[in-house]
Amino acid sequence: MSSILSALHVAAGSLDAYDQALVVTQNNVANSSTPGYVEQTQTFYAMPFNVGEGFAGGVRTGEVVSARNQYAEQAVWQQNTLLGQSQQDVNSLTSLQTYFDISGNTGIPLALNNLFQSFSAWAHTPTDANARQTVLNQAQNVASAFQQTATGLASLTQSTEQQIQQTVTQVNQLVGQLQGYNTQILNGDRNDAGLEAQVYSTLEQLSQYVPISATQQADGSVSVLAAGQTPLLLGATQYQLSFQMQQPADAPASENTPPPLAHILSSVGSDITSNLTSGQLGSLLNLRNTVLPTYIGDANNQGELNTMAQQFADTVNGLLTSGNISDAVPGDADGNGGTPAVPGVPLFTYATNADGSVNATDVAQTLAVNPDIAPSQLAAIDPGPPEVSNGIALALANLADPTDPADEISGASYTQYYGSMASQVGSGLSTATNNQQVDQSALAQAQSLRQQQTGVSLDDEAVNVIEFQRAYEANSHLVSVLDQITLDTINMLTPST
Amino acid sequence: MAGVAERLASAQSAVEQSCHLLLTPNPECLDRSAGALSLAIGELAAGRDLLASSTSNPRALAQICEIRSKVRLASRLLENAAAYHSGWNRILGSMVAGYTPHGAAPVVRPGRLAVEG
Repeated sequence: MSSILSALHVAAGSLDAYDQALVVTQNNVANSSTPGYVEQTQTFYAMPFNVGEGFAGGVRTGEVVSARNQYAEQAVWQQNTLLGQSQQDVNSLTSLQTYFDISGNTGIPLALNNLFQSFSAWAHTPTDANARQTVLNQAQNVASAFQQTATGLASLTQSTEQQIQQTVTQVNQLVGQLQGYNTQILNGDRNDAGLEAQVYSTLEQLSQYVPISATQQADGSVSVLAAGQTPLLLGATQYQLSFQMQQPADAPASENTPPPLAHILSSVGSDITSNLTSGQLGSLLNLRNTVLPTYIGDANNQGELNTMAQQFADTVNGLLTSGNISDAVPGDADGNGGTPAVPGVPLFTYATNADGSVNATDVAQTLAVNPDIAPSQLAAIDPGPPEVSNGIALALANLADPTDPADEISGASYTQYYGSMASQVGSGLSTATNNQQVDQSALAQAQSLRQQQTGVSLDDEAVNVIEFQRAYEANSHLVSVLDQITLDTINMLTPST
Repeated sequence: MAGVAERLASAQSAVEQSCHLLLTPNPECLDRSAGALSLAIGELAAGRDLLASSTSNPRALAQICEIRSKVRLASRLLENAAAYHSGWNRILGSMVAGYTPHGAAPVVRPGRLAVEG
């Protein structure tokens, strides 16, 4: 009788165990599309079985084991960080490109081209009032084009700073959510698969903004570091990042107020900007601190747009002020009634400091036509010797295609210099677009690897790694042959210059 | 006999197929990827021989550049997957053989037992 009762007891225990396993399986199915969820497995253990001593055997449930593979998760985060960076690069450079028209149909290149044409027309008819007025009008267009580009870049700079602030806020919010999950885990919810799914889903979101590494502690909580060294979350303690704009420590003392640079500070005030080189935040910091200063300048650099604006204005002004508006009129035999030659006046102005020094990073934005100049005050006469009645106007027209290195900027004409600035942006955007496509594939691959690797047995894996090794060697050799053969063919088809 | 355009299109398709396979880098896909890459090499080599006689072919040049960008993608996917499995290999070593104070232990390869008699 007792053996029958034992058997019934064993059977009831086994039913309970399988009932629990069924619940785990149902939960797996229900959460198959839940972000961050991985399969949970109910483990079993056998009860002692020895009929002689009254142990009737049977099965009981053990722990529910998560199939999560931390290594595979980290690989996905790394690729997500790279994709976040390239996506942000594409967005930022697409905005930047709108200020640098390489076609020559708008903006600075069009205005410069029109001004050079007006100089040329003025050189043909140096006394013609209409030609002179056209020069002033086109000069005004050049100044406006520089101002608009500089204003646009300033606006992009400002919006980039806002995006950096929003990204830092987003990072802090996501880490705040993780802190909440950690608190729940530390309060006893450590085996909650749903909570674990939320933690890993949040970590994946976080990884697109900053490069992260996360480890699960013995108490079940997750520790998160940014860029491998700055703590964002340890246990139930969050370490917030902050953002501020400041001048670099090596900025020379000056009356100027160059644009400051963006800095990210850890919770203890350490500057961690240089560590954040990837992710969406890394991309924004690179745009704000490296790419934009190339054009608008910073404490140690005037910026190419300002350099171009200043050098162009100075060259035009230098030529005009070296010329004469009108010739000297000799006096009579007694030396009475003569008038001296009237020298030229500058065409362009830009902002200067109170001490007369140039505000180097403000030239493009303040470039304007001299408000005191009238068409009749444009100096066409080169006093020589020999004097040439349209010599200055001709010299100005020749700036379009300079032959004198003094009229060039960094060894190029003004149009070429602008073209080089614009092509830098275009080339950067093209690279970023390619990177984005590659990073999307790399992320898909990492997600696939995570899927493959979740919950596989170590024995299977030990066999697989040997197969992988052989397959990688074969593929790698073929890719390197293909790389070489495509390069050789490109070289063969590219006409030599 | 296939012309240059067909050869290049076939090579491009093979490299794209390899990229697609490398998105799921399991042993079977890697083997098929190697097959696709071998095919691409054959088509490109044949296409290049045909191109050698022509002086200029901008269309072929554009297509070769496109193929090259796909080869770069395949290379990146291969590097990533190889780095992933190499790291996983080290972890397995640690898990199978135990972590040592001097770093990850090498993977214990499955052994073989031969009985003769």
